Parts: sequence; structure tokens; C-alpha cells
Amino acid sequence: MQLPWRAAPRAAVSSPLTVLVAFVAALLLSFVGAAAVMHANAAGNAAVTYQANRLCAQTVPPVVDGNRVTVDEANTILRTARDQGRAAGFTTMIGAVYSPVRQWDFNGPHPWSQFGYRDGAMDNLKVLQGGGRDGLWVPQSIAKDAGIKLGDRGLHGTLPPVTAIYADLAEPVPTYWCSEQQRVMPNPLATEGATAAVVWFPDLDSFTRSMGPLSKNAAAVTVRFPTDLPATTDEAAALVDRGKAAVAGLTSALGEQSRLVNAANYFAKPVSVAREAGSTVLGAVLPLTVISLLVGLAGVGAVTVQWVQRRHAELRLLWSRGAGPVALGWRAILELAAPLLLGAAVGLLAARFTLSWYAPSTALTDGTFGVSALVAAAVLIAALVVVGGVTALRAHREFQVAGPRQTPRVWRFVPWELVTAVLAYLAWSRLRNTPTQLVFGQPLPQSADAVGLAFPLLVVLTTALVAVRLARWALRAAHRVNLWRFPALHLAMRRLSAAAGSAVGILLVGTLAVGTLTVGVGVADAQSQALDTKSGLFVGAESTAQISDRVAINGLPAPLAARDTVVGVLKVSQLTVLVVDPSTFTHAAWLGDRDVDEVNQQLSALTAPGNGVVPVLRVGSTPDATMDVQRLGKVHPVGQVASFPLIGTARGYVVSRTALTDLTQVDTWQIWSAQPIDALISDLNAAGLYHLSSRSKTAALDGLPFLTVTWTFDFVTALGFVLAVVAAAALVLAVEVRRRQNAVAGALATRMGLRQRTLVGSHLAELGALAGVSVAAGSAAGAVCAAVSAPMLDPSPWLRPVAGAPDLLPLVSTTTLVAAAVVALVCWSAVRSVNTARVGELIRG
Amino acid sequence: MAEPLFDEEVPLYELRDVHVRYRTPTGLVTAVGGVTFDVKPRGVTVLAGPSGSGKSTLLRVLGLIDRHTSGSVAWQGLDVGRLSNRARRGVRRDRIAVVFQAPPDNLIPHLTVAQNLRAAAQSAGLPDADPDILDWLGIAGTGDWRIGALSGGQQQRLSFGCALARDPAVVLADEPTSQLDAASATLVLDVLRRLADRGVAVVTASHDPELVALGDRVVRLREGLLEEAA
Repeated sequence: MQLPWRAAPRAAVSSPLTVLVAFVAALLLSFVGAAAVMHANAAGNAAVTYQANRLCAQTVPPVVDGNRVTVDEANTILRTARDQGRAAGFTTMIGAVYSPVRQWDFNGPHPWSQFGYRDGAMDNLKVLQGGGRDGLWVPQSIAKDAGIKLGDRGLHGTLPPVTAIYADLAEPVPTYWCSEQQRVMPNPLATEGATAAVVWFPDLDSFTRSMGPLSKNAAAVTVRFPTDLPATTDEAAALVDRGKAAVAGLTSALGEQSRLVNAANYFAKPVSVAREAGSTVLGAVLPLTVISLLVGLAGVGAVTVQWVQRRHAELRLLWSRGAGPVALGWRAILELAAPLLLGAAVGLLAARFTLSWYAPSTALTDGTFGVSALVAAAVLIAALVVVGGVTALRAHREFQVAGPRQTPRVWRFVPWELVTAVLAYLAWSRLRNTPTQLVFGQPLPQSADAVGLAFPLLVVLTTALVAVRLARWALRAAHRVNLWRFPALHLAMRRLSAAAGSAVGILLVGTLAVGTLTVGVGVADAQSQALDTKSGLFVGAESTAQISDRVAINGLPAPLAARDTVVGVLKVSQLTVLVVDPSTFTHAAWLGDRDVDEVNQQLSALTAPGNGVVPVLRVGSTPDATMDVQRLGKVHPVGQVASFPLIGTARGYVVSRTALTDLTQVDTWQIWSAQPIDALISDLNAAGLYHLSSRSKTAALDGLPFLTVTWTFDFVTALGFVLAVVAAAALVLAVEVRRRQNAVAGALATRMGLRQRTLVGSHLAELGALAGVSVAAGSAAGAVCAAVSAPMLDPSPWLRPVAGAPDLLPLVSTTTLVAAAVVALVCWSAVRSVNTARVGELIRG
Repeated sequence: MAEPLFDEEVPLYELRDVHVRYRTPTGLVTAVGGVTFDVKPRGVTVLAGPSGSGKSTLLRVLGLIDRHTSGSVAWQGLDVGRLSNRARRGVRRDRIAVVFQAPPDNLIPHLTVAQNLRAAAQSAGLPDADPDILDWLGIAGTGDWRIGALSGGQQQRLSFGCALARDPAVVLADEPTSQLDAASATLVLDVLRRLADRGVAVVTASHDPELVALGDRVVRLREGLLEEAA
């Protein structure tokens, strides 16, 4: 290799600005490419975690249940399951066997109860009396009802002695019990004798001996394989595969007896859904990622053009000595490869280490970093090809076919904005015509596919291209405009039109950046808010639980009454009637962004009935007329709301409990709390109040479809941020590249009498125009797009209210302030370079 | 130094009715409008004329940098107008050295003086430059210097040294003294003379009377046309 090529890497040191820009361009390119891969993978993994956390942890691995088996058969199933589980890599197994629920004898009393044995059960119960592990453990409720004491022996003395009384299990049960909740907790709504608390045997042998003959073929068996929850889709898939192997082995080993058990892998479907979520996110972010990469590569091209200008003399010299365009391209690559390589490496690492800032999970599937590295390498190679190609092309044009361009720049005449507008229309049309519904076997909404999610981005891109086209025309026509009455404006206009290429480039990236930021934040926020609102309206409060009529009618104990509220629910034909306590309702109910005072005022109108007419608040499309309603009597609407907690936007009435003469008419009563579910349950348990059917706002709805949309647009936001950095850097660079030229011209003008105020004003007007148009066009496009697409991307529009336009004022304000700060900073730099320009510089210039 | 590899009697260049036209935004401009002359393989040929006469354009045509629009240009009997870009690069690489007007344009700034000479030699397929070139140029001892440490005159002399290091058949120099003071210009003229004495054909474009006086043959141009060849 000849010396100029060999020494090229060292030559880079002579142009630190070019090196820096090349480094930053490669960093951003590599970051965007690698981050897209990692984000999509993290989205899949976050979906796995989300779904694993929604399930009982013990039902994530395979589960085996057998009903109506003999105790001997149960023993066989347990032994076989343990062997097959171990063969499939499940080292821990929790087996359980239960007798049928009966009125078993306990020295006279016959409480409804069942006997059982479960591995480790005694380690997971709260002992109230005794505690010996060699006898039966009886739940407090049964012990109390049947008068059972420590040492008593049931079934006419044939059972082991009672050695402990334990506290009955209450909702929410610990993880150990979650898969057995239906079996070990009595359900008061079930038929008598269908469920009962469990009297626990100390070991399987004693259970088998005592209960084997008595259970006949009415025993039940459960097998669980507790394991660490998977953090990635691959781990989850491996777990499912092992589960399938265990189930297949069990079925095969049991032979004919396999008909007695139901063995399943409940997590198989969530794994495929998680993979689908990951690929949906990847498909959706791909268009903007590609656009961002193209913008980045265009930036690399611009850096190369600058480099060619800077190295023009050397390239001409090498060319005159016989070097061809391709060799000169290699010369450029050798000089810029080091900063590009370093930038790509830093970008890759930055994408990995800032994963928690932009991705929904920090867990990555094995090999994802490798794929990201490959993408970063591909992007680096593309950047190097651009560097070499641009240099070779420029050398060819300047040296081999010197003279003005023979062929016009065709790409300038291609109406790109029309192309993207047509694509946006097609995406919108598809989005609008695709019924948004969850189809069986396809748990993600159809609208949340890559095409649907690309719609807002295509609109933003179209807006940016239109802005660029108009700016190009305006700048071309600017030389006809005379604004000398406003010298600052005239100077700004002249400077902009003199550097029209840079100006429209910055405008394109700036508009794209602000637009994607706005649409990203807008749609992501809209979906988050929709999920929050829908969950809030669906449950009614942060947490709720059903309580007894007695407690509801007589009133809550003091500590609960201060924080929570009691709500009665009546179902009358197609109407839902909510019986509320106006004095405490707003303490606990989920009101979203409603004004508390306004709700209180509406509820205060629901006073006691006058002339036998019950005042009600009508919800949704309930008729605005006095009507006879079954169990309520005559009702008269005194107000109207579009939606109400629990009722949602369905038809219904809200009535004050003080207006009802007979509260026993109410079907069910619930306690509503603004606290998390754990705190509510803890309070209820502390107060000794029986409760059931507890619900939490955070777990009420399957949020995965919402999260998929949110995760997608979170990444769009991240890309918008990267583009914003590119736009700001391009603004700084554009000013810096023309620094000397502008400084000399400015210094000359100030010496000729240009006022400082006018100089500052001209720079503010020049830079402010670029930033202002970018922010205005980007924000407008982003906000409109977010408003239009948010309801279309709502995964469950049947659950009202549909996602709507979020409040983007804070974001737009912040964007404007940041843009103003960048403009002020760059303006200060430009004015400073004018003021510090030396006379010698003027002479040389 | 280089022994001529060709017949002394065969002209180095044969130009016949050479036209060079440029397309500009305002239309077609004729820079050279039908020039016919030969360049001998030895001695100094000066293309003289006022600014805009087409001498620099003609020099670029001789250096196979620009293509002529019509007519013919033969290099040692080979019609170079018909050659591909690659073939023209080959001729340029092996037999032609070009010295541009501004001294820094002829040197690679991030290499030392010696490295510049080596780079020039390597570009013509030679392993290194003649070690006596710096002595010969009168700038001995500057081998390790950065280019920026040399004066303009020294840089231009080094430019001719680089041309010489390439062992060319012809050195084409475009107004080599125009950016130098008188003393430096005299030293450059001396280098040019001695270059011709070593058997290298020198073709230079200039309106410097001293340089014109140096020429063994002067081709005078005016407005793109041959005024006189003497």
C-alpha cells in the first residue's frame, strides 16, 4: 500500500471536527440499529414477564390435575410425575392429594371439611395453636365451629391427633397456595359441600393409610413443578418444551391411567403471544428505524462531502498521479474508518447499557447482543460504503467528467411527499377498515400490526417532506424579496438561501424529530391513559372486594370507613344501578381526571326521595325521564354523566344509599378503596371482615395489547430523541462550517455600521426560523396524528372510553423551550465568532 | 535520471486542431479553439499568453486531466482522446508529472518532506525517491520536516522534486512561479532548467517573462487560438 493510504488514519488527526462528526454519526447509526433489535427483543421478554406475573407462578410450568381418583392412583400419579418431571429437568415438585369434601366426623360434630396432604404445606401455614408436625393441622374456622382442640382425634379416633390449629387462608393467598386456592379456600357462593377448608396430614403415608379406604375414587391429586419464572422468550420456550416433555413422559408412563389426569402447559400460548408482541414491535419500529438510518447515512454522506472539500488538493494530486476514483474512495475510508468504527462500537455499547431508558425490559434473549452487534457492523459497513462511494463519485465528477452536471438531479424532481402521503393513506385505510377485535388464537389486536402502527410515522414524514419542499421553493424565491426595511430579517433570509441545502436538511431532520417525539409520546401516553381509564372504570377503584350485606348496611368499622367507601350493585334488566354513599364515595372511587368537587356536587343532588321519587344520576344513554325501575321504584334523573366507575359508559343509574328505604334489596355490596389490593385485604383481615372476589385495577384487564402499542411508541420517542440530537448537531455544524465565512462577513458588516442588535437579530431570525418551522410543523403533525391514530390503535374499543388525544401541551412547551435554548446557544456562538474576528482574518478573507 | 524511452525525433505530443469547450450555466464556452502544435521530448516548452488565453486548459489536456472536445491529441503517437479513463490514468501514472500553481496543492500536508518524495515515487511504481533529490533541490536536511515548516519557494521546489521522483517523461507545470517572490521564483526557474537538462521534457504555462525566456520553445496563445509558436 502506498504511503498516502498507509498514513491515512494518522491524517484524520488534522481534522478533529470531521473526526468528531464522523464518530457521532456512527454512534447514532449504530445505536439506532442495535437499539431497534434490542428493543424488539426486550418487548418480547417484557411480554413474557408481564404474562408470567399475571398467572399464578405455579401454573407457569406444566400442571397436572386429577379428579375422581383413588388414593392409590393418586400415589402412582405422584410417583410417575416426580420421575418424569425430574427427567425433564424439573428438580422440585409439589404434589398434593385431597380427600373429597364431606361432613367428616370429629368426635360428634360433623363439619364440612376435607383432608389433604401437600408437600411443604405445614411450612406455609400460620400456626395459631400447637405446631407439632406429627399430627393433623386443623383450620381455625373448622376448629371453632366443631369445637376441635389440640389432641382430638377424628373419625372415631382413627385419625392422628390434632397437633396444630392454623389460620384460615385468606385472599390474596401466598404464591405457594395460588394454584390451590379454589381447592383449599371455601367458596361461600358455591353449593354447600362443594368446597371446604382442609385438615392437613403430616405426611403422604399417613394420609394414604387413613384416607385411602374412605376416599374410594373421589380423591383429587395435583402436581406442580415450581421453578424460577422465565425472563426471556427463549427461557419461556425452553420451559414450555420441558413441560411438554414432562407431560408426554407422564402420559406415556401412566398408560391407561393417563385418562385420570389433565396435564397441561398453560404458558405455551403466552409464549407465542410474547413472540408475536416482539415481532409486532420490531415490524412497527422498522420503518422509522430505516428512515433514521437513512438520515444517519445521509449525515455520513454530508460529512464525506465536507471531507472531500477539505482534502480536495490532496485528492487532486493523487488523481493527477494516476489514482482512480475507487482508490480515492479507499483513501477516504482509511482516514474515516477509525472514528466510524469507534463510534459504532460506542453506539452498540450505549444501546446495551441504556436499555432500561428506552426498552420495557432489560432482559435480553441469548444471542440478541450478537445480532445487535451484527446490525451495528452492517450499519458500519454501510457507512464505510457511503464514505467510499461518495468520495469516488465526487472524484469521478470533479476530475474525470469535469464541468457542470450534464444530467439534472432526478431525485429532486421525485415528489417524495406524494409517495409517503399515498403510503400513509393506505396505512390509514387499512387501519380504519380493520375491525379492531381480539380474535381467538391471535391475542394481539389486528390494528396493532406493523402497517397500522406505521401510519402516524408516515404522516409525520409526509409533513416533514412538504415542509422541506415549501422551504426549498421559498428559499429559491427569496432573492426576489427585498426586506431591507428589516435588515435583520433580510440578512437572515439571505444567509438561509445561500445555504439552502443545509437549511432544508436541518428542517427535514428537525421536523421529523419533533414529529416523531410528539407522536411517540402522544400515542404511548394515550394507550397508557386508556388502559388506566378503562381499568379504573372497569373495577371502580384502585381495589375492591365483596363484603357481607350486614357489614355494608351497618357501616364499616372506623379505620376502614375513614378511607374506603361501600358501594352496592343492583342488576335490573339491562341497567346497572350503583348504590353509593355520597359522603365517602370520592375518597375511594377511581375518578380519573374528573374534578372531585364536581362529582361531589353531582352526588349531593342525590338526596332522600321526595314524594316517593328516588333522585338518580343517569349514566350513558339511559333515558332522561322519570321511570319505574324494579326494586327502586320511581326514579327521576337529577343529573347525567357519560361514564361512571364500574358502570363505564353502559346504561345505568347512580343512587344514594340514603335514598333507598330497603338496602337489603341490593344484590351485592363491595368495599372500594384507593389503596393497593394488598393494603385493602390486610385492612379487611385486621378488621376481621369476611370478603371475597377481590379485584385490583392494575390486574383487572389484560394490558398486553396496550403495552405492545405503548412499547412501540416508546421506541418511536427514543428515535425522535436521537433525531432531535442529530438536528441540533446539524444546526451547530452548519453554523460552524460557515463560521469563518459568516464571521468575516459579519465583522465586515459591523465595521460598516451594522448594529449589534441587528446582527443578533439576524442570527436569531435565521436559526429561529429553522427551529420554529421544525417545532411548529412537527408538533402539529405529531399532535394531529396522535389524536387521529390513538383511538384507531385502541386494542379494546368496546371497553369505553376509547383512547383519545392526550394532553400534549407540556411536551410541546418543553420542545419549544429546548429548541429556543439550542437556537440561543448557537446564535451566541455565531455572534461571538463575529465579535472576535481579527483584522488579519478580514484581510486574508 | 530518465533516459528518453522513445525516438528523439518523434514528438512527445502532437496536437491537431484541438478544441476545448466547456458547458457553463450560461452556455457553451470555447476555451481552446483549434490549436495545432507539437511538443518535443526534450527541453522546456512554455505555453504563454494572458489570462483567459486557454494555456492552463491546454496544459490540463496535455496532462490527460481534461478531455479535448474535438481534434486529436497524440501521446507518442497514441491517440489519447480515444483512451478510456483507466488507460489515461495509466499514462498519467507512468509517464506524466503535474505541478499545480499553488505550492501546497502539490504536497501532502500530513507527510514529511521525505515521505512526500517517497509517496510520489511510489505513485509511479518506484520503491523510493532518489536520495540526492533534496540536495539537488537545495533543501538538504529537511527530510524530516513537516511541509508547513517549508517556505513557499521551498515547497514549490519540493513539488518539482516530487515530480522528478516519479521519473516522468514530461513535467507539466501551471504557472509555477506565480505565487512566489522573486528570489524564490529564480530558484524554481533554476530547478526547471536543470530538470530539462536531465532529459525530462518540461511544459509550463506562464505569463512570467523570466519563465517565458527560459523556454526552448514558446507557444503563444490568445483567446484560445495559437498566436505564435517559436
